[in-house]
Amino acid sequence: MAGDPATDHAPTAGSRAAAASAAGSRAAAAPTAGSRAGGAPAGGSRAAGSRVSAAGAERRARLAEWLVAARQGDSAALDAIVAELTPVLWHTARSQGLTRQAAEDVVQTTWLILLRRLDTIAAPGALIEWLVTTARREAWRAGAASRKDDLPGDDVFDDLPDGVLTPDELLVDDERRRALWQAVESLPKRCAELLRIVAFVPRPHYDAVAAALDMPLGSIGPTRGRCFAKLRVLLAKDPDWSPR
Amino acid sequence: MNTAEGSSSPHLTPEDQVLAAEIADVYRMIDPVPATLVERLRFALALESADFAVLRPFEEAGLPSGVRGGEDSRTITFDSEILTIMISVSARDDHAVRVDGWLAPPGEHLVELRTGGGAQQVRADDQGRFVLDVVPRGLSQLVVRQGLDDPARATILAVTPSLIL
Repeated sequence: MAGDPATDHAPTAGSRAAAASAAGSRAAAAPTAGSRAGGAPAGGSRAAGSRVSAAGAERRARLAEWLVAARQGDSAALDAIVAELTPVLWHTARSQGLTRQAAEDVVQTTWLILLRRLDTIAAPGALIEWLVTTARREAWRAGAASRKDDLPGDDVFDDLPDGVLTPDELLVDDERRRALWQAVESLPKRCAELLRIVAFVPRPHYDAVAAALDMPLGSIGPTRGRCFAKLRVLLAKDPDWSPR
Repeated sequence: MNTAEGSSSPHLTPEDQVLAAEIADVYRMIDPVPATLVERLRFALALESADFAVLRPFEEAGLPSGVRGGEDSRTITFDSEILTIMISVSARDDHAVRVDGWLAPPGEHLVELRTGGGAQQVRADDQGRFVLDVVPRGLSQLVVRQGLDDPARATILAVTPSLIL
């Protein structure tokens, strides 16, 4: 069946582009190792940081507008929110050790449950907090339903279809990223999960996500700080990692 | 509890932000969001109401995960607070499948199968059984409605996520 449900909706350009870029990301990813370094000479991390903040503020304003429109029944606005926040839910589900199929189900279930709750959620931060909390709970539920004899979490990449490369293969020509991946994966589970999820959260909503991860606001600085500090210690020991 | 100390802590340092961006790059590369997921979500969320139970899918034990598309015959069970549905999907040909289903507790609900090309409805019998004889392969979603005589007025009771038949 070639039917494309998306063509029923007029304003799909944005989400379509998002899907296209997701589709292309694997192919495009390999040659971009130097892309971040390109625009940032010495002292670049501070410049990059403020660039990220500006983009974050813009995303927050946009998300707030979409949320207002979606609550009034604007399906294009809902679609835009879905395209914007599905990545953080995907990585939330996957960081719980689910297979790709199970993670897709969890992301879908999370959004379906949201439809009934949308009226009660007023702010983007609350939306993200609710989504991440729900996705984690759904992931736990799906994991409990399908738990086999294996230990959870160590077979996340074992379900790759034939022809799909493992992380080691994908990163073989990129020592820096492979070092980063290995360092994150060797952190305590809690820290690895926190850093992976936070990496996909629009920056201004970090505190909402920390709350969703069950860390009281007062402790999120130290907790986040500890996780980043542990990561830096691991990276510092790795000759393949060079701080920028 | 938002003390001066607490309120300053939520912000990542610029260095942390750069590291977080690099972590995102890595996971985007090694574990990308499935290319069709957002499109499947758009399809699954395009419903006329929102007040329904969500039917969570799980594969029958013994089947390998991650291969929900393509086999000749398979069974999927969906569970929600109000009802459970089991469907058995068997291949007819390259373009169509047959869906045999059973819902519990039994009720003469309307079972609708949405596809990209439209929707078909059947009424479950008093044992909860239903059959959708010819269903086009591809993206679809099960929607359970009240068993009213006028299907147009039957509100949605429960829905599944989208699935590939």
